[in-house]
Order: sequence, then C-alpha cells, then structure tokens
Amino acid sequence: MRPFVENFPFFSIFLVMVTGILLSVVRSGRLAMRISVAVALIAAVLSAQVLAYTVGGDLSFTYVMGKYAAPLGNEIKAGPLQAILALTFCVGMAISLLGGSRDLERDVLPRKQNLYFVMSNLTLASLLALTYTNDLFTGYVFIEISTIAACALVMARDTGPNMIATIRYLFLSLMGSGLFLIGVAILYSVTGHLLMPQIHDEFRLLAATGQYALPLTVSVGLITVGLGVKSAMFPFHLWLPDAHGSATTASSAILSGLVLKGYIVLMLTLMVRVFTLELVLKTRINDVLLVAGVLGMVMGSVRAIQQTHIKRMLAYSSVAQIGYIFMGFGLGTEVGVVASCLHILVHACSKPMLFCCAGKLGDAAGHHKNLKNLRGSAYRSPLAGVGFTVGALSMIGIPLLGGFTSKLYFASASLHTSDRTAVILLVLAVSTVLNALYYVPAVLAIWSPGSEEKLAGLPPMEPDWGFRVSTLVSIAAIFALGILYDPAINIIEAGIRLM
Amino acid sequence: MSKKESAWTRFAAWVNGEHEPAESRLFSMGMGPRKERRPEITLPKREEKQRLHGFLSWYPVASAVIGVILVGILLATVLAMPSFGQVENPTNNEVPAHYLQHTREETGASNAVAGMILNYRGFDTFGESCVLFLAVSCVFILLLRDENNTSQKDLEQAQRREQRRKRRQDVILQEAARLLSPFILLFGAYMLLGGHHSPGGGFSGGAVLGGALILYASAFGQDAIRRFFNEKVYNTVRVIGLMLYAVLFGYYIFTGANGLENHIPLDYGGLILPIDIAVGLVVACTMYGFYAMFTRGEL
Repeated sequence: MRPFVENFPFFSIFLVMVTGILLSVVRSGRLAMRISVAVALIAAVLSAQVLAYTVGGDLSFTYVMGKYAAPLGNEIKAGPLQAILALTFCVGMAISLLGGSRDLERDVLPRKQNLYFVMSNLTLASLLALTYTNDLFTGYVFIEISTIAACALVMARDTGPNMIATIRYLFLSLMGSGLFLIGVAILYSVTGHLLMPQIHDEFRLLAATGQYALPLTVSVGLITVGLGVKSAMFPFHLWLPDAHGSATTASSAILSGLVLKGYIVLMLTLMVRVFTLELVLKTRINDVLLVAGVLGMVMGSVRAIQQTHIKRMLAYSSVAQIGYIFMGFGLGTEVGVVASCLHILVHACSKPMLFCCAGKLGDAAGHHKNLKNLRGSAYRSPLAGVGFTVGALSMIGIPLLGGFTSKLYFASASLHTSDRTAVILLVLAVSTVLNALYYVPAVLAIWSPGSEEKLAGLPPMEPDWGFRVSTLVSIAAIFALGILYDPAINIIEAGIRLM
Repeated sequence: MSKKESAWTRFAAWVNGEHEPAESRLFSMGMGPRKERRPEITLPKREEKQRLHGFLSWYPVASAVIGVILVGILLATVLAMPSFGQVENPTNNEVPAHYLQHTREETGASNAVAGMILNYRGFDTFGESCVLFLAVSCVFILLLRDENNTSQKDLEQAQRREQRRKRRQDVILQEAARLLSPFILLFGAYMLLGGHHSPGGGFSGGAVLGGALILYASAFGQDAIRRFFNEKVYNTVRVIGLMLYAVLFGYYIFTGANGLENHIPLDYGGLILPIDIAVGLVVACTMYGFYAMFTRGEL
C-alpha cells in the first residue's frame, strides 16, 4: 500500500478530465466557468501536496496506471519538478479564466460557452498528463488532445481572422504532431519499448554499440523538431502571433502562458530522462536548439517592436521568451536546463497576466487594442495598468522581478560552457535591450494622459473581482520568483536530479 | 525643419506616448504622418496581403525542397531500420510475448489486441476516446446553429431544402434503409459485445452503429431520427459513455496502483466488455455528430 498522496497526480488528471466531459451538459456558461476555476484550484492544491511530499522526502515515484507495471502498461512519474510545473499550470489556468472572464462572456456565443470550458479543462488535463507521463505514447495522445482543444480555444471567438488563424495553427500544429509521431514510431521500432525508462536503457545500449545510429539520430531530431513546431520554436513560430493575437483574452493567456509549455516540458522530460543530456550532446541536436533559441530571442523581439496591436506585440514577445527556454536547452548542461525551467515558471506566471491586463486595458479604452488608442487607459483601470507594468518590467528583466532571476541564471549557465559564453551573454544583452524597446513604449503609452474627449464618452468600468484576484495573485507570484527564488531553484535542481 | 529637430521632436513625442512604437520606425522609414482611420481593421488586412504575396512567391520552391529533403532523410532511415516482421527485431521482445501469453488470464479477453488497448494501455485509449469527444465538441463550436450566427435567409434556405426533400422522397434509399438499418445496428452491437474475443470492439462497432444512424437520418430526414435521438439524448449518451469509461478505469487504476483487490470478475471479458460498450457509444455519437453538424448544423 503506497502513501495516499502518491495518488494525487492521477486524481488531478482524472478530476480535470471528468470535469471537462461533464461540463458539456452544463447549460450556463457562468456556472461552467465557476466549476472550471474551482476544479483548477483543487488540482493546484493536490499538486501542492505532491510538491510538499516529493520535496520533503527528496524522492520521485512512479505510479502504475492500471494493474500491470511497466513495460506492459501505462505509467506516470512525479517528482519535485513535475509537481511544481503542475502547480503552475493549474494556477495559471485559474488565473487566465478569471482574468479573461468578462471578455469571454462577450466574445463567445452564450450557447457555446460551456463548450469553451470543456476545451479549457481538457487543455489543463493534457498539460498535467504531458507533465507527469512516463510513457511516450501517452505523451502523443495528450499532444493530440491539447492540439484540438487549443485550436478550439482560438476559434471560440467567431470572427473571420480568427478562423484563418485557427486553420494556420491547426495545420502547423498537426505537422508538428506528425513529425513527433514518426519520431516515436522510429524510436519504438529500434528500441522495442514505449515506456521511458525502458527506452532509456535500450537507447543507452544502442548508443554504446553504435547500432541503428541513423534511426536514433533521426528520431531524436524529428521528436525535437515536432515538439519545436508546436511550441513555436523560432522558424516555426509563424502561426503564433495570429492565433494568440486575435483570440479572446483568456485563450491568448492560456495558449501563450501554458499550452506552449506543455510541449516544452515533454521535450525536457525526453531530453533528461530518455536521451540524457550527454547523448543529446553527441547527436548535436542541442546546437540546433541553441541556434533556434538565439534567433528566436532576437527576431521575436524585433518583430514585436514593429507591432502596433498590443496583443500581437505580446504574442511576438512570447516567441522571444520561448527562444530563451530553447537556448537554455541548447546549452546542453544541467544548469542551462535549470535556468530554462525557471524561465518556464516565470513566463507562465507573467504572460497570462499580461494578456489579461491588455484585454482589460483594451476594454478601458473602449475595445481598442491599438497602442495609440490605449493612451490613458491605465488611469481608467489602475490595477490592469499596474499589472501590465509589473509584467512588462519582469519580461525586460528588472531586478526584484521574476524575469531578472531567470535571465541571471541564463547568464550564469552560459559561464559553464567553454566556447559559447561570449555569444550567449551578448545575445542576452541585445535581447534585453530589444525587450525594453517595445515594453517601455507600451507602458509609457498606457500611463500617459489620454485625450479627455475620447475617454469621456465611455461607460464607467464595472468592478471585476475575478480580474482583480487573478492580477494580484500573478503580481505576488512574479515578486516571489524575483525575491525568494532560492526555494524555486532548489526544487528545480532536485527535480532534474530525480527526473 | 532640420534633421536633428525632427529626431528630437520624434523622441519627445515618443516619451509623451503620442507616437505608437511602430511610428518611431527603427527598421523602415517614411510612414510617419499617414495614419489609418480604422487601424484595427485595415492594418492587418494590408499586412495580410503583403505577407500572402511574399508567401506565394517562395512557397512552391521551398516546400518542394523541404519535401525532397525530408523524403530523403526518411528513406535513408527506413533502410537503416530493422526490416519488417523479422524474429530478431527489437520490437519482438518480452512485452508482446507477455501480451500473447497472459492476456486471457490477466484481463479476461482472448483477443490480445483488445486486452492490450483497453486494459494494459487503457489510459491511452481513454485519451483517444477523449480526442473523439473533443473533435465533435470542436465541430459544435464551429458549426452549431445559433440565433447569433444564423440569418433569416439561412433558416429559410434550410427549410426550403427540407421541404424539397420531403416532396421528392427517394424510395430506393428509404426502402433500403428500412431494411438494412436494423441489421446494421445488430451487427454493430455484435461487434461491440464480442470485441473481447473476436475482431471488433468499441471503435469499429461504434463506427458501424454511427453508420446505421447516418443511413437512417439521410433516408428519413433529421426529424425522423429526432423522435428518439434528439440533442438531449445525444449529449446524455456520449457523456455516459465517457463517464462509464472514466469511472471503471479510474477504479481499476486506483486499485491496481495501490495494490488493492479489484472486484472486477474476469468472466465475459472482465473490464473489456463494459469499456468496449462505452467506447462504442462515444464513437457512434462522434460519427453521427459530424454528419448532423456538417449537413444541418443542428442535432
């Protein structure tokens, strides 16, 4: 009989999935929304318990999804890293839904609102499953779920540009899934297993003997590129700005803050648990990741500077931030991976809030999303202005905020590599300046006094408690990651060690 | 106006927030004073057009090159992979051997494939069932007819189509449907119920059931099928199907992982039979849901 807390990862996955299924018969959108937020918070509490248990005991455990253990049946595995990521995803989902609830009620047709929450719950379930899975094919199944659900989140707002964005997203996303599936098929046919520990053993054996070297390299490459396409790695990011820029606020927040991370976490699990970092270094896939990451950091920011639409600007900023994460992977060292994980947490805390605040500011300016028209909007909705400012400063990397910590760790991680330190430090500096070049004008725009006559005619802002709570929680999380980052780093380091 | 002044005024304007960032152009020039009247609508369109133009000029060449490279890589990989169906292949290890030997005593199914997908790897299959559920929900979001997205004209058109169909009823189709539907339903049920010891199971049986519903609906019209299979019944059936799967398999996982005794009898297919039925209900609803949504936009 195992400790009861070890059931919690399974409980949280099933709870969220079952809620998602049941919400399809709930008529009222508002009720569905409350249930979704409550369930996300319950799952967060369960994940927090798993976190306390795994950190307290300095352990990770596998949990058989059925009666028969690996290599016969499915398995999940939870350690400190999985637990803290699951906690972040659950809280991030609650924050996104609460923060975007007003826009949601306006953008999604009343009769379809419950279906929206079906999608959001199954997205969360797939994120949890992708985080916890110890089985490659379970990973693929939940990639499918999150692909479909994420597309539905984009198209829930029924407008023409949204449909185009959805189709583009769907095609590129399916191509990513396809590459991943081919990679998994190749890996299965040369190792004969689908469970990660068994693949790891066979992989190590094959790498030592040099047998099937080409299929192994190709499968690692296909899996990496497939997941890269789905998580908007630099040359494959073209779907992202449209999908994230035009969707309803909550969808943008969920997609940018959470869904992208699910695939990255699966890639991280594979790199650390299955392929191991030293063998990945041999295939030189990490060089590809490094180049893609560095290019993404620069090009994402350059494109963000050119945007006038605030949500498209934030979307391009996501491309840049994802670039940081891939750069950390590309270093091929444990410190690099730790820095990437920290950045995943920081970005998952700040991006949903930035999108929610941008949506609120747009409301305050009379449903405009253009930076020029947002002038003075922060005075009409001060909390949204403060939230946007804090998030923007964190993304730039101002000390005391989360973004600073992760950039600091990226910089120190680059010192551990022999030949790339200069390049990475330079790119970090350039990209920080570029970040500032688009976030600072946006912050200045929202806080500069707007024209009186334009804002005078607008109806007064209604109090929105969900938005207030979600913004305050996110701000607290950003400050916590910026000031008290030691515990987070310790958890991540322990998590990588116990992967 | 000297160049320095204009740079200064531009900077001052930028600090005051009077310029949007794109106007302080770092990477292109000469767009300053011209402003779109309705930037939110016109700007994306123009960008879209330019991008589309650029896209179409290099797209065919680039896709051909990428396609050829990918085909080359995959062909080389396939040549280096173990050849199909050999005894010494890595896939032919202890796992399939165990499935083939022990499926019957461990899961109660004599069909090893059914035992494998619905018991050993049942969590994956639950995920797959959710994919079907999600797919049909997506189509609902996209196509479900609603007073907000349907004009009067659309409604009249649909009514006219319905009346035309009623006037000119297809006798051959109707007679064939009347004759065949019961047998197809029966065969679907047989596949569902026999999936644990013969080819068949939830996915194929459910597809046959869904096919029967589609045949009936296309012969006699949506109204006829709505008498016993309306939206409420539809939603109930598919939710009950997935919930049955979730509850049964959740119980199985919980007892299995905690080393408890599960009280699932292994006769008559054990867990496989009810899960096959659950999957069948979901698949049938998915098939019929697609048909109804794409033809009429309502259930």
